[in-house]
Amino acid sequence: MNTQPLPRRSLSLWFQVVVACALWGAGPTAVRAELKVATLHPLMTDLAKQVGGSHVSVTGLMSPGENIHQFSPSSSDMAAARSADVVLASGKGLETYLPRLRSTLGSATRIVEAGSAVPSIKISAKDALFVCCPQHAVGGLDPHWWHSISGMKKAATFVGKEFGKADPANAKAYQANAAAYGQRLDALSAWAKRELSRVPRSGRVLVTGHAAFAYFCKEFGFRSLPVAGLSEESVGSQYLAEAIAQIQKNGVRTIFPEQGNNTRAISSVAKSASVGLGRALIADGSASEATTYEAFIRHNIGAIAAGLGGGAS
Amino acid sequence: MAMAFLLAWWPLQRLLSTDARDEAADTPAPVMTVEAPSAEPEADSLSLRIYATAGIDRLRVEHLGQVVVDRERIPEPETTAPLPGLVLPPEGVEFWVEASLSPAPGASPRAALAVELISDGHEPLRRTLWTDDAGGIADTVVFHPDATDQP
Repeated sequence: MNTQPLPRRSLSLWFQVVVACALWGAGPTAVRAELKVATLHPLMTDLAKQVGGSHVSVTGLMSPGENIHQFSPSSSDMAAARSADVVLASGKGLETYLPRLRSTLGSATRIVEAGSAVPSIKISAKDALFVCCPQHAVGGLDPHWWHSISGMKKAATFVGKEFGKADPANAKAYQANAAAYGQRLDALSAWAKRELSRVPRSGRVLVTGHAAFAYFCKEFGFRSLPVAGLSEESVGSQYLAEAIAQIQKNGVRTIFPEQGNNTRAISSVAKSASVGLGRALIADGSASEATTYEAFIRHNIGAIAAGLGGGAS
Repeated sequence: MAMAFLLAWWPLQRLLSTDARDEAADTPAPVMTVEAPSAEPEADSLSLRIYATAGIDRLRVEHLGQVVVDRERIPEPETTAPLPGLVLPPEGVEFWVEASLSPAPGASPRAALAVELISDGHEPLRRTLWTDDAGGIADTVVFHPDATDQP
């Protein structure tokens, strides 16, 4: 009577051994089953890793620190994109080469634009002089959506669903990863709000080089005042004079250069307007010292709160 | 007679309330820290009133990085904090609110905290914050002089 469980246990053990052997033999197949993702922006590389977890292999075609407005995929980048199951783009027109890439890759590769999940902000006439490039002119979509933490949360949910479509076997895992990442983004948002609560509402004017911070300003109750553009050539003396007048009119006490962009012009504006120069912001989400989204946000928020905040931390 | 009174009274009442709002909005007042004495003696006396749908285990409110309220296990259903020297500028005023609430057994796990900015002679401005899954709140509330309640 009591011998019954023993054969069952043996059978179970035998079954486990068989399954283990089968999985061992199927090793290379399991590796092939992982989702290959190529990304077109450093922040998308981090997003793909956060949402994909252990089920994806991610190849970033653009390294942190590269200029996103001047990036164009090389032939080796094209080859990497062709071998991917999913190409993850930032979207909102940032990758001006995307239509060409899409036609080159054909329908076999799924191109996901993460920013399509985020409500758009259009470039206003007042910012038109200081946009990043001619493709992003008045009335066009502002492509710098990742300055909004709530926007990144929406994008994570969207990317989780898109990964699930490309790899249905792991769809639930992608959604769970996206939800967990969303919670971490909520905590990051709370931290950001607390840091920025040191900045008086009346002093929330963010003066930067080019018009990249509209999403940030909308999320945290700032007004954006871009004054220099991306290149030294893009700013004439009359515009600098207008920028200085705006800074003084708004009572701004600190303005912010951007890493890698037109720092001389901003320094000149600061000197002429007799205002302080804050720590350089990462305007385009691409910096060698901030390879994750969280590091990128903490860098910028920390710099802005330090530059404009009046109270103790 | 009654109709004539209403016709005379209604525009007057509208005018008075508009004047009061304009007066508040036109006050040329920078945001000041809570501890700083007011440079404008005629400024309204502001205070915060906070109440919750559940017990408040911990409550911390900051304005411009300075602590306005920091209390634990608040027994009474509501608590108030004076804001000496603070005025409400046209751009609004923001508070950081951090709280943990403990709903009674059997009550809805989602509890809410109401934060009211009270100024003498004006309708209170109210904001509501909801707890997260863990019963916590960590968020900001912003009060604007021209908004009577949150959207």
